[in-house]
Amino acid sequence: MHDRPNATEILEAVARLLADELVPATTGRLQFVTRVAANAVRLVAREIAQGDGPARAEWQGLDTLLGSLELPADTAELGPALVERNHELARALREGAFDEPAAFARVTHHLRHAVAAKLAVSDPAMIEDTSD
Amino acid sequence: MDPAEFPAHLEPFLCAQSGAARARVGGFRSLTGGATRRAFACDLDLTWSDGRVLRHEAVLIVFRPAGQQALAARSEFALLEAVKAAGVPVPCPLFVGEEALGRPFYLVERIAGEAIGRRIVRDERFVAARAALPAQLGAALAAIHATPIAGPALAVLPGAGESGDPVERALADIEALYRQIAVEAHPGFELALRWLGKHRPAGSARTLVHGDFRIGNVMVGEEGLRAVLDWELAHMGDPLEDLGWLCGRSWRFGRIDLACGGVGTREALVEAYEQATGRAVDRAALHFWEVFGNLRWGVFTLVQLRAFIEGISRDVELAMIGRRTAETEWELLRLIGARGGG
Repeated sequence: MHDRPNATEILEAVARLLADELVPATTGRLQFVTRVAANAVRLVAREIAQGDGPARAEWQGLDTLLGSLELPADTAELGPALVERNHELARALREGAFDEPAAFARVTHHLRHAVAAKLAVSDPAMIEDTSD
Repeated sequence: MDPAEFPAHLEPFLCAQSGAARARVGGFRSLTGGATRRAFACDLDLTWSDGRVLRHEAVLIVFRPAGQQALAARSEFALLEAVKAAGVPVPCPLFVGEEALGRPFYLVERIAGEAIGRRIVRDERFVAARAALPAQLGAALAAIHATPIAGPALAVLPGAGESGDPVERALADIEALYRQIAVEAHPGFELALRWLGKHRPAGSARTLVHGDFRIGNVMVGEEGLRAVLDWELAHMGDPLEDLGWLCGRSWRFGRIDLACGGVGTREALVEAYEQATGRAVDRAALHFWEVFGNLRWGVFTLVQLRAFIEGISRDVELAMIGRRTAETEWELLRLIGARGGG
């Protein structure tokens, strides 16, 4: 176990340095990339804070579409295994396996949750949007 | 050749092209750099032997020697001449060359104004411009789409001389690019491709399509639209592709309620376009092209992710574009009716 501060506390301090001190002190392209860097650090902080909860939820969602599969025991294997299962889902979609209304509803229900989980890290404000 | 040497090499080129006795290139400075091209501002002072003088405030576009170009410099220059003649507001094309700088380049008139989308959509000083823009953008698109197809300038564009359905071509192209470029599977894009295949618009036309017509690629003054820029993705296709792209979710700069680039409603754009063309827009077809546009931008984010992963560029902004792919999946789910609300 590491001592405090934890990873997200350190990243938040770096993000504050970038956003509150370096952005006002720079101009032009350097200011733009500094703002992007601050957002990037905050994104990583949100991702760390979430742990593997979203990945486990995505796995369960894929279970309802592709049939149940045991969750990898080793957390490090979860990411690569999810990539493989999403390839399988993509193939099934391409072959028309989810064209029927009931199947379409199930797959969109899953994708809604999976994409919202990605946005919760990359752009939380967008989940709430009501576009035209 | 180092860019600092460009002015000295441009001067004899300008004399040869214009017949001027003397040419001076001043005020040379870098504007933007990109993966395939760089832009510089410069002022051209030409003096003829009879005493005539001419000054051009210009932009120099230099193509990277090894960069993969959507359009060659000469093709893009000829296209600018063609759309200028058709009444599209564009910077006046001045000179085009290859050997003088050791790589392809062209010069256009420099137009003052603001091109940064966030400022156009948000700044107080563009209130009047925002009120005028939907009608001006609709009219500019109508002029682009009315550009005469016959003639050599448009003959070299992708999709020119084809007799097939532009919808089929667009779908095939974006699917091929997605399958070639994607590092990981994106089930949301598969769903969108499936939806597009089943909702193809019945009728379609074939016109010049700008290909990247959006806020961020137009020069705007406080009174409104001044020029349409960034023609490198121009091609022959269905004109509604441009309208759907302009309404994409990713360039509303915080005004997500205003589909027309964050400056107006979708309906205001469509009405202006209908008035300028004299033809009704099929709303279902426009919806198809809006889905297509969001998918196309999603695939473009994958292209940029690929460049980052392969180490072509390690820039943090390129890295972050990879995390914007989910935005396009989210919007696609909403547009194809798979997401409640909105």
